[in-house]
Amino acid sequence: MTAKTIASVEVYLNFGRFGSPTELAEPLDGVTGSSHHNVAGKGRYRLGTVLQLWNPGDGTGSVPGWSEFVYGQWDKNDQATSAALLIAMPTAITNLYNITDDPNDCASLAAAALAVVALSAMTDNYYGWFWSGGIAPIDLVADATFAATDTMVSATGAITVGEPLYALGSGEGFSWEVDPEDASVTACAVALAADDA
Amino acid sequence: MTASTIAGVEIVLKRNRFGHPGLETYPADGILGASHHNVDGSTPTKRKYRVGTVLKAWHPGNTASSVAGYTEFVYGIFDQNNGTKLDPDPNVIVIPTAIDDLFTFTDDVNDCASLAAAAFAVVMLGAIATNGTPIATGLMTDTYYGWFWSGGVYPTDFVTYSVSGSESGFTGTSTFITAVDTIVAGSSVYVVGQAASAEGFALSLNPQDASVVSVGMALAADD
Repeated sequence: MTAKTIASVEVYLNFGRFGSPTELAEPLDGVTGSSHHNVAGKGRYRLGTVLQLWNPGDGTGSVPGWSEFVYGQWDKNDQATSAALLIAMPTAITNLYNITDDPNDCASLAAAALAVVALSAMTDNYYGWFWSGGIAPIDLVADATFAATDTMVSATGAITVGEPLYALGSGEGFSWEVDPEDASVTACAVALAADDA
Repeated sequence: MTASTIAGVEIVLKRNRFGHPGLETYPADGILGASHHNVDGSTPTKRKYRVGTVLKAWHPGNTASSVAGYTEFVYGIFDQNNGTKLDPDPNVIVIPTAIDDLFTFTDDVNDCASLAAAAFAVVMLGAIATNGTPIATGLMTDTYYGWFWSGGVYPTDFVTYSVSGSESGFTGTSTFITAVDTIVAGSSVYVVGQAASAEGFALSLNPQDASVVSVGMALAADD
């Protein structure tokens, strides 16, 4: 079977994997504002800052509810692509906020439970927010390719509603799978709907 | 085996399923206060809290068999749909009506988001009238707004009222119906449709589908 896709609003990431939120106010220029998202240097927030915001569900297909973000640093390693809705994970268990979509240069199984999702294309080594919990923040992310109908790569097996989801390497980048790479790895999301046929 | 029961105090629900609590101030008139629980929230001015608000409160464990620990509530809407409560006990398990509306809860197994929403099951607290007396069977008014137990320990200290005769609110002996399998201490518990009825939900050792996410943990075996 070949890989399939699952829509952004059909994935619900588990809350609290990076700690409780200390930021509860939306940045003035939005969560993907250029003053703090995809920026060089030390970033506007301390690495590991967790932000929780209400996604009103105003946009087409958007679901109302809470969304959670973690502030991290993008590390493209050997990957050529960077885009919204790419699944990514820590590069090492000693650096949980250094985020990559390179399956060959990540912390592998140890970090699979800490998978996050990119909000936009990111420049190598730049700092910014990653979707880390709750529903897809459709109304909060300005990137045109982060819409309710935009998709992430999903399993070669079928995802059905209500199942826990695991992040696995899929050659280039990661995908959502219904089975972990190792039997005891922790899930990091719930499927709100089946993936696309 | 037939369906059995498990005491509410023997269940701990997973916290943070709806988000981190943004509210840690317990309402002055209690979680069932008539100013905010079981209220007509059809217009913004009538709503005391935003739908989706998560409240965390310390539960002292003062009443009989009560468990000390943090408990969590989520503010939502009750949608009766075509469901009717089978038991006068207010501990009715409800789940979202749809995956695009995670805060409208129903006890109607035929009009819910089914397995997709089983991971977001919560428990209805029941309802009391503005004068403090229980409303009939304790069922919330259809389409009204209020709090639902969503995480942590069973809030017996906070939901104490007699519903009808021998039935009561959340007490140390109040129970949930369990499915035909046997729940053991320490196991994950799942929400499923009741085996013996088309109405309502039950707790189970196993999910209705092989890999649906659990809602909490059992602290003891079922009866």
